Amino acid sequence: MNRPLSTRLRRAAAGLLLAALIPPALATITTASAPAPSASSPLVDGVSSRIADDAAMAFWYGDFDRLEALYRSVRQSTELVDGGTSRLQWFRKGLWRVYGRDDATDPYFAQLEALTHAWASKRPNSALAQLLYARALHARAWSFRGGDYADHVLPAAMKEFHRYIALEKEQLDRNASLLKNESTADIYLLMIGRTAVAPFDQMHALALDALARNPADDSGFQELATASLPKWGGSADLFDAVAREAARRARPGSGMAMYAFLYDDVSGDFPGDLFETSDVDWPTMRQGFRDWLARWPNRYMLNRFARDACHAQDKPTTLEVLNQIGDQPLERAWGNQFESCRRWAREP
Amino acid sequence: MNNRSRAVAVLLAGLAIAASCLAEGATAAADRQMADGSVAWMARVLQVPTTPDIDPPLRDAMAGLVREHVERLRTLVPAWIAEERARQGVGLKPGTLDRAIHNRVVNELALWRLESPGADYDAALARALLRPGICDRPPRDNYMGTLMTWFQAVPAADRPVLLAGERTLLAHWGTHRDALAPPPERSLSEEAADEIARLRSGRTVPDVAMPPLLADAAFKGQLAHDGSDVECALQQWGLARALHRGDPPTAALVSWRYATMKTAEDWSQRLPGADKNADPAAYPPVASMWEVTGWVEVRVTLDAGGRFASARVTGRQLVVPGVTDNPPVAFETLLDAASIAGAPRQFKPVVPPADGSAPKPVALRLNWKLQ
Repeated sequence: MNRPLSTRLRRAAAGLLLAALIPPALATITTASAPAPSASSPLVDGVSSRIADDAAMAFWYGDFDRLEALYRSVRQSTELVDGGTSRLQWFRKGLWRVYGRDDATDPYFAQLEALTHAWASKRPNSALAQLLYARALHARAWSFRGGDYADHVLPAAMKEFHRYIALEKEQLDRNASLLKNESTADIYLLMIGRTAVAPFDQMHALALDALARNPADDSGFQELATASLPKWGGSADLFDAVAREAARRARPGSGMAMYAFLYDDVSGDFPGDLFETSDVDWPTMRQGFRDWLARWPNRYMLNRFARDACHAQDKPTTLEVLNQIGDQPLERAWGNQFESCRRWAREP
Repeated sequence: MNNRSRAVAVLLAGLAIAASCLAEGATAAADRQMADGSVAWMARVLQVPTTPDIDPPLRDAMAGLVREHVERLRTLVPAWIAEERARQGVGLKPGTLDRAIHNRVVNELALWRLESPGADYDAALARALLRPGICDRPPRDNYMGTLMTWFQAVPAADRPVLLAGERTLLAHWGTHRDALAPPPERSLSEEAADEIARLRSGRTVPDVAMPPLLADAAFKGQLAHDGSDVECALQQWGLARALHRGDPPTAALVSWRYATMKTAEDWSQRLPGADKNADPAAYPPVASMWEVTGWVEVRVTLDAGGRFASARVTGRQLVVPGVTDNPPVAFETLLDAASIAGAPRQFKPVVPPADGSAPKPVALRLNWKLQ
C-alpha cells in the first residue's frame, strides 16, 4: 500500500498499454462527451457558472475576440472560486460543452476544426487560438473513434483517430514556445498521453508542469489520476498514491481535500464498490471532505460527502452530514440513493 | 314649371349638395382617421427601443431618422389613400381601402430592407453583419433595435456611412425603386442547403466555417425559418460565403436581403384554417387574407419514365391590392408552397423520348383567383 511512488509508477507503465482498449466514455473527465450545460458541471453557482456559460456561449457563436478577452481574465488567476475550482478550469468546462457534444456527428467536428484552424491561422501569436485548434483536433479524433471498445472500432476509423491525435500533438509541439506558460497545453498533452499510451513518468511530469505554470490549475493531476485507474492500465495503489500526491502538491494548505475530490470523482470508475475495490482510506477521505468544505463550501460536495459516507458505512458521519443537508438533497449528487442512505443512517 | 315646382327643385338640389358635402366630409374624416392609424402603426413598428445597451449618440441619431420619417409618412399616407381612391373610383369600400393601404405599407417596409443605398453603405453593412457574435444578442422584435445592434458594433468610420444610407433608404419610401435587385435564382437557404448536403456527404473542407451553433443545427437537420439565432447564423454564413467567393458586398447582400426581409407572412397572425392538416395545395389562408391573386410558374423535373419528380418556382405575376408602383416583394412567396404542392396534380405524365434520353423539364402555370 505504501510502496514508493516511483516503484508503482514503473509497474503501472506497462499496464498503461491496456489503455487504448478502454472505451473513453467510461473513463475520462475532459474527453467524455456529455456536454449538457450546467447540469454536467459539479458546481453551477455564481462566478463559476458565469465563466463556463460565457466561454461556452462565446465559442458557440464563434466569437473569438470575446473568448480571448475572457481567457485573458482567467488564465493566470490563482483564485479558486465558488466550489473550489479555478477560473481557468471553469473556462475549459465551458469550452468542453462545445467540443464534447455526444450527439454530434463528424461534419460538426469538421466545422469546429475548420473554424479553429481559421482562428489559429489568422492569429499565430494567440496562445488561445492555437490551443482551441489543438483541442478541436482532439475532439475530431474522438468523433472518428467513438466511445466503443477499441477492438470494436473499425480499422479505418481507428486510423483516422490516431492521425488526428498526431495532428493535435504536432499542433502543440509546433507552438511549444508560444504555449510555454499555458497550463492548458499540459492538460491537452496529458489527454493525448492517455490516448497514445505515453509513459507514466512523462505524464507525471506534465501534471507537475501544469501546476508549476498555474498553481490553481490542478486538472493535470485529475488527468493523471484518471490515467492511473485500473481500467486505464493503472492500479488501485497507484491511484491512491497519485491522490495523496495531488493532495500534497495541488492545493497547499488544504489538507486532504484533493484526495477526497479525486476519489469521489472516479468512484464509478472502480469496478464494484469503491470502498471494496480501491485502496481508499475512508478516514483520510472523510478528512478531505471536511478540508474541502471548510475552504470551499458548496452543496454538491456536501451531498457527495454524505453519499460517500453512506457507501463507506460510516453511519455517524452520514447522519451528521444529512442533518446539514436537510430535506433538500442535490439530486445529481445522489442518483437515486438519497432515500436509502437516509433510511439506513436513521436506523438505530 | 311653376314657382312651387321650382322651389321644390331648388330645395332638392340643395339637399343633394348638402348630402354630398356631408358624405365628402365623412369620407375625408374616415380617410384622415385611416391615415392617422397607419402612421401611428408605422411609428410603433419603427420605434427606437429604450434598451440600455445602445450608446446614446447612436440612439439619438436613429430616433432622429425615425422622427423625420414619421413626418414624411404624414404626407405620404394620405397621398396613398387619395391615389387608391382615384384608382378604384366611387363606391370604394372602407375594408378594401384599408387592405390596399396596409398592403402598401407592408411592401414599403420590405422594399426598405431590400434596397441598397450604395456601395459604401453595403461594404459597411457587410462588415457589421459578419462580426462574430452578431447573432448572440437579445432578440429585438423591432427594426430599429436590430439596426442599432448592427451599427453599434462597426468601426467608428462606418457609422456615419450607415446612418446616411438609412436616411436615403427611408427617403425612398413611396417612390418607384428602379434599381431594386431581383431575387436570386436560388435563395440563400437553398444554397445553404446544397452546401450543407455537400459538407455532410464527404470530407470536403468548408470555404467558410460555421459557428458551432449553426453546425450543430445544420447537421441535425434542425434549421428553420423561425427568427432564431440559428437562422441569423445561417444568413450570416451565407453572406460570408458569397463574399468569400469574391462577390462584391452589394451583390453578396442581395441574397441576404431577400432572406432576412420581413414578408407579409411574417406580419400575419396565425390564421384560422392554417393548420397542419390543411390541403397544402389549397389557396393559402395567408394569401387570401392579403387578397393576393395571380399566377405562379413552376418548372417540373421528370423522372426517366416521364413522371413527376420535383418542382420549383421559376416565376410569378401577382396582383396585390394597393401595390402597383413596385414589385410586391413582401408577397412574392405567399403562393409558392401551394403551387409546388399543386404541381403534381396539374402535371400530366409525358411519354419519355424514344432515344432513351432524359425527359425535358416541363413548365406549368398555376392560376390563383380568390373565390
